[in-house]
Amino acid sequence: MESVQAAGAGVDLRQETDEDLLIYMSMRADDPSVARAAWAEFFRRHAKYLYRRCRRFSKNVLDEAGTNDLVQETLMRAYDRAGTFNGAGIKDTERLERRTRAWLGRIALNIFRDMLRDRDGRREVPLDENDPAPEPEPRQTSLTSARRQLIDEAIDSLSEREQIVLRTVFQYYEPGKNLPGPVIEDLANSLKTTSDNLRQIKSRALRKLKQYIKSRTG
Amino acid sequence: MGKKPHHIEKAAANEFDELEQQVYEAFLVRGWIIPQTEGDVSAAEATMTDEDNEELPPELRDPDLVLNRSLRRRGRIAVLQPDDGGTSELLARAARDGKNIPPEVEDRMKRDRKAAEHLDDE
Repeated sequence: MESVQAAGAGVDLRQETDEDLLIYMSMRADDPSVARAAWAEFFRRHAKYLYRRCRRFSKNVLDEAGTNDLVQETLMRAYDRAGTFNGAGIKDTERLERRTRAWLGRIALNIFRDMLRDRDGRREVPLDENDPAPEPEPRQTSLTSARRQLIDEAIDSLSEREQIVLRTVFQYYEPGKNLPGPVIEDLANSLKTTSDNLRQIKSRALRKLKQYIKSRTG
Repeated sequence: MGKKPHHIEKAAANEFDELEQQVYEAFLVRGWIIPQTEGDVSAAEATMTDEDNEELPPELRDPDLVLNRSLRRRGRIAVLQPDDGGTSELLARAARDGKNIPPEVEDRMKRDRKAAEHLDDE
């Protein structure tokens, strides 16, 4: 069994990009000590971010230990599959950091689904967590704080069921693509309803949001 | 009911797209969606306050411990696989040399096959 003694003793990788760290990790068979140093640096950069996101996302679904498992498993899968990360030639370190975190997000989401499936005794159907094509520079949000508050109020006016359906739909949304079949199946199972009914719940929720906003803005 | 003029339909659709985008961003900020794109990461972290920058729980603070713990767990999973006891090597050698398989190895094969079938059923 592989074992870690002292992560990266004597190797300073703080100047390396996330992509470089992942490359070092993927080469652990050739140079274990550098791989461990890369892991330690990668962990230092992203563990807190991942924990923050996973904690908020899994609130009310996983307990504290479950959230910690989700974070740990996500980081470990990143370590295992470090060689699959595609930096898409991005040189800007901040952008590369965002791309790395987006990748971690896709891994975490897959593991989260596995955890729910294990809990419910259902089969695992992994979704694609490979890197998509590079995105254009992210645009800044156009939401004013007043508009954001209004949107928040509108969301709060929805039933819990409607919120869950919209969360799931948006979580897996990809332009021009339908929601993945296994996700629809999971959602329908957990809400004890049919996929047709899910579509209706989604439409109704969006209509309610629109009406709520219209009623307050004229 | 008559169909809406195309430009009105298109305007309504755009309005809806914009609303969905805004709801999506609100979900990101609430943490209800795990950011999966660069833009998501930016939007989700844009409104982060010092309060959000919480400490890791003790069991996640040390990268060495996290890695070792995960590898140990994986080691336990590996132990759950049937103990090979050199059977695979014997089988491979028998197949290579075209020799008869010893009865104890054949028994082992049958047991392994049964175990594998049982796993498939799960």
